[in-house]
Amino acid sequence: MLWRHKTLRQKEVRGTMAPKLSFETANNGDKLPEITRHITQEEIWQHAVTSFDVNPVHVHPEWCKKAQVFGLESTVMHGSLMFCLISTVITGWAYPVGGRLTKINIKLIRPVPPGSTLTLGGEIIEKHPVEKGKNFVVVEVYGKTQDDKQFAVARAEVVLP
Amino acid sequence: MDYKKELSKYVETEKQKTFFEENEWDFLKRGDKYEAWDEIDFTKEATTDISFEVKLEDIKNYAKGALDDNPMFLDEDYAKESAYGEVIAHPMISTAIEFWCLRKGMGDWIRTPGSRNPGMRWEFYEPIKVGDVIRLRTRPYDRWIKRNKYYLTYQMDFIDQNNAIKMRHWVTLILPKTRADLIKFMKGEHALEA
Repeated sequence: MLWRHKTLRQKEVRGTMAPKLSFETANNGDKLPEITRHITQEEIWQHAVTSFDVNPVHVHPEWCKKAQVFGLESTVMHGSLMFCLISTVITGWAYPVGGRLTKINIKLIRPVPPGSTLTLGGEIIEKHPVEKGKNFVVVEVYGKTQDDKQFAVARAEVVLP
Repeated sequence: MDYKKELSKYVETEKQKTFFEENEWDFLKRGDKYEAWDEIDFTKEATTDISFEVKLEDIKNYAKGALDDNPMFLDEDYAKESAYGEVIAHPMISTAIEFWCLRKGMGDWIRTPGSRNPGMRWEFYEPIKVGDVIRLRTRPYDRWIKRNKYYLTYQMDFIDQNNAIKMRHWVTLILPKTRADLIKFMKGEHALEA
């Protein structure tokens, strides 16, 4: 499952390993590389085990048919997996050069059932020259479904070297 | 479909095996005992008895479950040459630590079946690394009603073996209002309207 993304991921890494990324070279309007993930029930089960979040709304298809928590008869992807993907947009871009995510505020907009294909990306919207080692940018991150509907948005602060 | 059997296929780490053996995978098991929205005592705070001792397998497995194969989380040789100097945990490992530590007592409402996640906020002070032993200090932070939905936020401080706060997470969920509603949720009875 994870490794299914490897080719894609390697492309992302190549795109994000640009040695020139630094606070000096980062500018408002710069786009972060997009990532794409296809979400299946198997990946939701995997995330449930890895996060210890085995809420039936994610893992128990029969319970979901009855409960219809989001008005859906299916399970839904964990909010925490959405958080992971949002964060991956930042960590894949900034961590290879020693950048660091320091704050993030994520809003979830709509539930995501298995079978969805998600695309996430971001843009620098603010640049904060504070002092060396603490200079940071503010990044807006978005996540959208295959129908181009937003399922999450986030605002993150990222310290760049 | 036996969903527990499906889940068992993904169990890899020692912690996951323990969780499975103790039947903590079943959130319905003592769901009627979880804290309910209208019973939260805002004068209290607690530190978890259970701690999360971070092992390399925990970090690698979390990256796998996060669908993130960034070598910073997986490859010791790569990480050694990086600015971090060693493998670090995916920042969202906070979720695994919380569900590992908060099985009973203050904050166990995060396990409420049918709860909804409207989004959350974090501050990260230091990366979590192999060898860290994390406990959670939990305190009620806010509770509000919006469009007939009942929101609850706890502040979770991730405290390491040196009493340093590694990260802070404001955990928010939309919950059933009362214990009676919670039980209704557990049964899967019209949870949407509860």
